[in-house]
Amino acid sequence: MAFVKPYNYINNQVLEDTNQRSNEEAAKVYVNQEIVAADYGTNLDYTEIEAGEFLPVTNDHKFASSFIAGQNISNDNIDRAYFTSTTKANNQTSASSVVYRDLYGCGKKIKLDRSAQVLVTFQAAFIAGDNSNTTGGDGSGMWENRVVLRHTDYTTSNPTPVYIAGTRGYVFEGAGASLGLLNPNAGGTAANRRQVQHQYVLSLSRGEHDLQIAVNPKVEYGWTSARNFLVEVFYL
Amino acid sequence: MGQINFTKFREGDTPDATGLNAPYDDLAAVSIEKENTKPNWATRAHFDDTGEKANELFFYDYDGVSAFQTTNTNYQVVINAGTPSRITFPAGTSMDGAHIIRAGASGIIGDIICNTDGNGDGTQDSYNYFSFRLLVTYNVGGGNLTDVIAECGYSYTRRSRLTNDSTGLDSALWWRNFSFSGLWAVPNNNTQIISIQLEAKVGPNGGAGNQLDVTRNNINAVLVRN
Repeated sequence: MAFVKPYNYINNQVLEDTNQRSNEEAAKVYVNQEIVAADYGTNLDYTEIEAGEFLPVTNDHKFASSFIAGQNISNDNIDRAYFTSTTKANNQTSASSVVYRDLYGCGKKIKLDRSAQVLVTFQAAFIAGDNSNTTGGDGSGMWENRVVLRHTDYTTSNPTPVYIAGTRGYVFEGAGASLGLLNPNAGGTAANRRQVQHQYVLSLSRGEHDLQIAVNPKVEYGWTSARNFLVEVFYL
Repeated sequence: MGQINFTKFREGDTPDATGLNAPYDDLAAVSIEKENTKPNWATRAHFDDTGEKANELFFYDYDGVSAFQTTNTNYQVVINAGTPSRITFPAGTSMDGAHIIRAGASGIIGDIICNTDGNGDGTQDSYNYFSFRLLVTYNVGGGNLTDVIAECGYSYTRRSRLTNDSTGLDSALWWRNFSFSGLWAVPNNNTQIISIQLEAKVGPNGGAGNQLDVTRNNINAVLVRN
């Protein structure tokens, strides 16, 4: 809004110190940028007032209203991110045996200056092998490897990972015939070579947050090759 | 650009109202312009949190397991456990002609059924597809209008066309993710943005009953005002 003078001087009136102070105080606050949207709505573009800052080490790009962070890995053998079910102590494939593993190259820790909405975009090419050791039981056949976004809120006293159901995707074992709970029951390489992708929005509070793609594997080996993980922060 | 004038009173002068008022009146007349600002002078406190000026992010999410199934060859809004997959914007959400909407949707399909994927003839290529689109509803005065922001199609089978080959009509492609996005240029100043919804259909299949099945799905929309 435009500057509004609190006190109007009038000839031959005794000037009160409070009136003089109110004018000076109001002017001081105003010239120190007590400026709101209406002041620049018709005169400026946002690009003229927030040039942004690129942080080359982390590849993040910061603006007054937002920042963008992410990871991008092209199809390169040495950059594959592997996952395995063999680290599960009792049962590699039971629905009750859930051990999520971080997917390398698909995560970002962000620090928010204030509460914000965060748009997470993920895409990866997955390949899963067969589980040679386990047959039968729950989900028998095409074992599904569940891929989800994990959010850990470090602003709480007891940070606990939360797996976001609305981001779920699957890549399946490549062989088998019997029906599972989620069962693309044909053999071949269609079920075990998948693009898994999502876009998801989280409303996060001020502070530190970890966003990471995780896999609950049910095969002995699987991996991703090309993958993209992008975090866009909207403060407003 | 305005100028702020000060009257210099000397010892013994009696200040008059004109001189005293001048700097404050001049200040009130000054506006914020390109000439008197520099990059990064603003902090977040300067921005209007109600979102009238800057980018805004909206989101619709259904993360459940209830399946929306359709055999319709015309676009239908995706219904999630009785609720349409739709972002409804607050009343009065307005954008101008230089603005853009960036919208995307993602989700997962379930047990899709393909009874007919065409006979290999080019005219039947579309039998093998199902598709999604994002439809924006807006108003520039008068009745509501709609436009397609983004559209994408997927194959039922591992073939792009063909086949009459029953081995191709498998379920190996069940439980796939879909994800697509697009940009839409706002047509006029003071365009009221009403809603964006996710719609789905199956390709023309001669009534053979190809069926799409969608479970979790979401829509994100960035109203880009920069």
